[in-house]
Amino acid sequence: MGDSAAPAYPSAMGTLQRQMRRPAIQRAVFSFSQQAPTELVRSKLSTSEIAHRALTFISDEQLYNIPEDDNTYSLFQGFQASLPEGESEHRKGHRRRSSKQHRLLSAGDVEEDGPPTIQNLKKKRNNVNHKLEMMAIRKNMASTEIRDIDNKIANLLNVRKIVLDRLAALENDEAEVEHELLELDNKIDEIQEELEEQGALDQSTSTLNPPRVATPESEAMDASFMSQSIYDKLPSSTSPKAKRRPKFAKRKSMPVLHEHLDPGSHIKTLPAHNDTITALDFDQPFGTMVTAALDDTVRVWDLNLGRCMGFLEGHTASVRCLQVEDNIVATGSLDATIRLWDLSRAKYEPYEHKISNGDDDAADDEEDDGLGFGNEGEDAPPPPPPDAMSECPLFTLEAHVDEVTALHLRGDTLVSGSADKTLRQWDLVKGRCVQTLDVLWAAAQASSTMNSVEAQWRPTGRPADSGADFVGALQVFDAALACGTADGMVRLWDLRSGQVHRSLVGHTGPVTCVQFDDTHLVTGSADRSVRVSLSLAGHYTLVIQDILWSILIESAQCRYGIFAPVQFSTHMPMITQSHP
Amino acid sequence: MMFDTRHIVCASGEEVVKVYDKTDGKHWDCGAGVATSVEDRMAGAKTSIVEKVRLRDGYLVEGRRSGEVGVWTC
Repeated sequence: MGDSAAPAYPSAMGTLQRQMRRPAIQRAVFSFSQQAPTELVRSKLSTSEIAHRALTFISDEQLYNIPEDDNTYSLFQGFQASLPEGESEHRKGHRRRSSKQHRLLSAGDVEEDGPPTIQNLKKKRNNVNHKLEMMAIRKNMASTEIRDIDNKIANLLNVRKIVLDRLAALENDEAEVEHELLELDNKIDEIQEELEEQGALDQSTSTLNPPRVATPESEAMDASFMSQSIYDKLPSSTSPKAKRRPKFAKRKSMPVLHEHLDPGSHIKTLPAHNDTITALDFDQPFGTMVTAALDDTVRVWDLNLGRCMGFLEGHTASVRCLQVEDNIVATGSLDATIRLWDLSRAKYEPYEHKISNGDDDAADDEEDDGLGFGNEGEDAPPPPPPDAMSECPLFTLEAHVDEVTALHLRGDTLVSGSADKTLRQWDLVKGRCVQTLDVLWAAAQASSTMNSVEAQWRPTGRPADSGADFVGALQVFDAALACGTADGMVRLWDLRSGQVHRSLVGHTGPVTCVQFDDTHLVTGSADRSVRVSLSLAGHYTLVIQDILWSILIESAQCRYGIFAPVQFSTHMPMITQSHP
Repeated sequence: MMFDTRHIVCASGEEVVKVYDKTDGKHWDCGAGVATSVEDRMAGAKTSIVEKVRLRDGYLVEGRRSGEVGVWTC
C-alpha cells in the first residue's frame, strides 16, 4: 500500500465495483485524498490531520451565506480583543523577559542602567498604540452587543405582544365556553325537574293501583312517595317561576389579561351615557358594571364585550350611589328610596348569534321577540331588549325622607346615608330598617360629653355647599361603620350600641369618600386631599395633598409609618370590641 | 376614591385619575387626559373630567362628566 501502487488504484477500484468506474466518483475520491481511496488514506494520513480537515471544512453554501455585518472591526481583531488581558500581558512579559535576557547576554551590563533608548520607547509606543486599538475594538464590540440586545428585546416584546393577543383570544373563548356550560347546566336542571314531575305522576298512579306486590322496588317507591309529600311543602317546588330562572353562576375562571398589560394602558372606552356619570361600580375585572348618570338611567354593562345588558328602571329621580356585590345591586336615589336588584334574573344572551345559527328553535324565539340582534354583527352593539331587566327588582327600601347620597352593602347588612341627616341600617333578609342613627344628635352628644370644640357640628363653620352631600360616604364591616360627612368629619360608629366611638378631624372640606380595610382608613375630601389613618388610631397619619404628594411621599417617615406592615394592626371589629 | 391592595386611586375633578402606589410610594396619572399636552389644551382639545372611579384587582373603571366610561389597567 505504498506510493508506488498509486497508478494502479483507479483500475483496482473499477474491478471492485462497476459504479466506481465513473470518472466523477474517482475524481471526487482522489481529489480528497490526492491519490488514494479513503481507506488507504486513512492508513496513510494521521488521525490528527483528518480531524483538522473535518474541522476546517467549510461548505460553499456557508461561504455564500456569510451574514452581512456592519461591524467596523474584523473577526480576527475581535478575537484578539476578546482574549483575556492577563494572558496576553503574561505572554508579552515573558517575551520581554527573554529578550532582555538575550540582550543581557549579548550586550552586557552597560546598557541596562543607561537611559531608555529610542527603540525601547518606540516599542512601548507601539504597545500603547496597540492597546488603544484594542480598546477601540472592545468599545465597538460592546456597542454592537448592546445593539444586539436591543434587537433581541424588541423581538421579545413582539413575541410578548403575540402571546398577549393569544391570551386575550383565549379569555374570550373561555367566556363563551363558560356561557355554554351555564346553558347546559340550566338545561340539565330543567330536564331533571321534568323527570321529577314525571316520577311524581307515575308514583301517584302506582299508589292508586290496589294490587301491590311486596317487592323491594315498591318499598323504595313507597319511601320516595312519602318524601314526595314533603317535597310539595318545600317553597322551591311551589314556585315554578323561581325554579325556572336561569342560574347566574359566578365565573369559574379569573381573567388575568389586565395583569399583564402595562400599568395605565387603556383597555376600552364606553360611550355609556349622555350626561354626567353620578355613580358606577363593577363586580370583577371583565365582569358586570352598573352605571348611573344624571340622565336618570341606570345601565348594566358587560365589561368583557363592552355591551349594554339592560336598564334598571324604577327610580323616579337620578341615582346618586350604587354598589354591586356579586349579583346584587343596591342603588340609592334622589327620590329617597333604595332599590335592590338581582342581576341573575336578567335576560342576557351575550353569544346569542352563535346559538341561533345552529338552533332553529332559538332563532324562532328571536323572531318572535322581533329582536334578532345577534346577527347584526359585532361592529354595532345592539340595543338591549327593553324587558331584559324586568325581573331584576327585588324590593324597595323606603324610610328616608330625603335624598339617599351614600350606601354600603355587606353581607345581609345595608347602611345608607341620606340628606335627612340620618344613617339607616337595613336587614336585607327581612327587608326592614333595623336602626336609625342621627348624625346631628351624635355630634351634639359628643360635644356635650367630651366638651371638645372639634367634635362639635358647626353649621356656621363652613357655608352649606350646595354640591356637597351631607353624608358623603359610608362603609360598614360587621358592626363597624365609618361615615364621612359634609363637615369634614369621619365618624366611626358601633352599630351594636348605635354610638360614635371615634371621630377623625382633619379634612377642611366635605368628605366625599371613605374606605377602610384591616389596617388603613383612607378618606378623600373636597378639600383636594386624601388622608390615611391607621384604622385603630383616632387621627390621621398621612395626608396626601395634591400639591404636596411628592414631598410627603419622599419622607421616609410617612412611608414606613403608614405602608409598612404595622405590628399592631388589628382588624376593624377589634375597635368596636374594645368599646363597652 | 377607592383603594385595593396595591393602589389608592382618586378622581380629583380633573381629566385624569390620580393613582398612588402604596408599595413604592410613587404617584402617577391614568386616563384619557394624560396624553394631552399643554399645546393640545391651548388648541382646545378637551377630554372630560373624571367624576367617579372604581378599582378592583388592578382593573380600573372611571366615569366621566361626558357620560363616557373608560376602562384601564393599573
